[in-house]
Amino acid sequence: MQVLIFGCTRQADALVPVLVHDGHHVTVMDTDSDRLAIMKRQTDIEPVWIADPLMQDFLIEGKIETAEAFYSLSDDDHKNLLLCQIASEIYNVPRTMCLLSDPQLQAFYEPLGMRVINAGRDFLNSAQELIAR
Amino acid sequence: MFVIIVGCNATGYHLAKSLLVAQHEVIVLEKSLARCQRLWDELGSVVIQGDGTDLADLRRAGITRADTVIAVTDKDETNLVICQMAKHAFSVGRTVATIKDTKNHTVFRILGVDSVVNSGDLVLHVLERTIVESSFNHLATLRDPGTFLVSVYIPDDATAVGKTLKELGIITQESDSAPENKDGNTLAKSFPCVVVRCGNPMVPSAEMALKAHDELFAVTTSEEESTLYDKLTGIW
Repeated sequence: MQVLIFGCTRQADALVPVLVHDGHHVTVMDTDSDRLAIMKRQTDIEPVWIADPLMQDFLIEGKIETAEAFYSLSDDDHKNLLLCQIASEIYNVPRTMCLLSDPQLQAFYEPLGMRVINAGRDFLNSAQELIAR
Repeated sequence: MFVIIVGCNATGYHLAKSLLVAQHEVIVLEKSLARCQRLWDELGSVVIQGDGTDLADLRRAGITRADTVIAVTDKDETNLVICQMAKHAFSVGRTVATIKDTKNHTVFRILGVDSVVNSGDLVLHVLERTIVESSFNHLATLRDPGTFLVSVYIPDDATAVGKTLKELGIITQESDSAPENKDGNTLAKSFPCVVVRCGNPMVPSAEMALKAHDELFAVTTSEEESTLYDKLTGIW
């Protein structure tokens, strides 16, 4: 499957080798060329170095038009939300997933149909549980 | 009208001041405490310290009874989140966002932002107009995202001089098929409305040959405008 990932974060570090090992074609975009180069040296990915403010041009360079899955894993919640919605609404990418660190944003966007992965909500629940016992 | 402005940069500040002068009820939500402290001296309690993407802060600003929410922070993506929260969580009647990246216009409209103001484009168009020599002017941004009314001035040395609009691929006689130039650049979404020659407006036709110093007014799109400009003013 052709997979596009935005953000060379720790989450991407963990996910990308697994996807590549499973035989998927992975393109990774980031604004930091160093982080991309390091990831490229470790895993067989296609790196796309992006620079604001031309976000959408770089999505095309990352072949979003034919991507079958898009993961937005950067550490900027708002950017992830925008890119995921561009991927699904403009480029009709069938599978999109958005990393959010703000539990409140997750609670707001999940009912709108967005697939969200979030350490935040689990964190809240577990943290409350720890002292509730 | 009760307006909430999110973000108190230069745009937010001046907008707040002019809306207050026009007797509107205004609340400005600004995240930075340092910025707020300076604004409190100037604007008073109109400014509230808070995050425009936080439901509780929006509620504190009185969003449940707001008529309009205007997101003018420096980040396009933040402005989108603000407008989506206002719309979906609080059913605000009118949401307005400023953007810097032209390409975000379409997606913001699709996602339900009522008005999208492209601050980058506006500055660009004004700058274009101040350069007297410029032969390409954006005259108006039309309702459809990415659609403009432009004027193009035909210079002396342009290859287009003496060529008909049909030869240039700007008008085809079969109106239902997209005109295609030899180099494969289509101008399917561009439409010439009027040609002004020596002060006389004329309706463009397929057989009309362009002359130097003609000014052509056309509706075009962001994708096609550079092709149109090259065809009409370039040397090829």
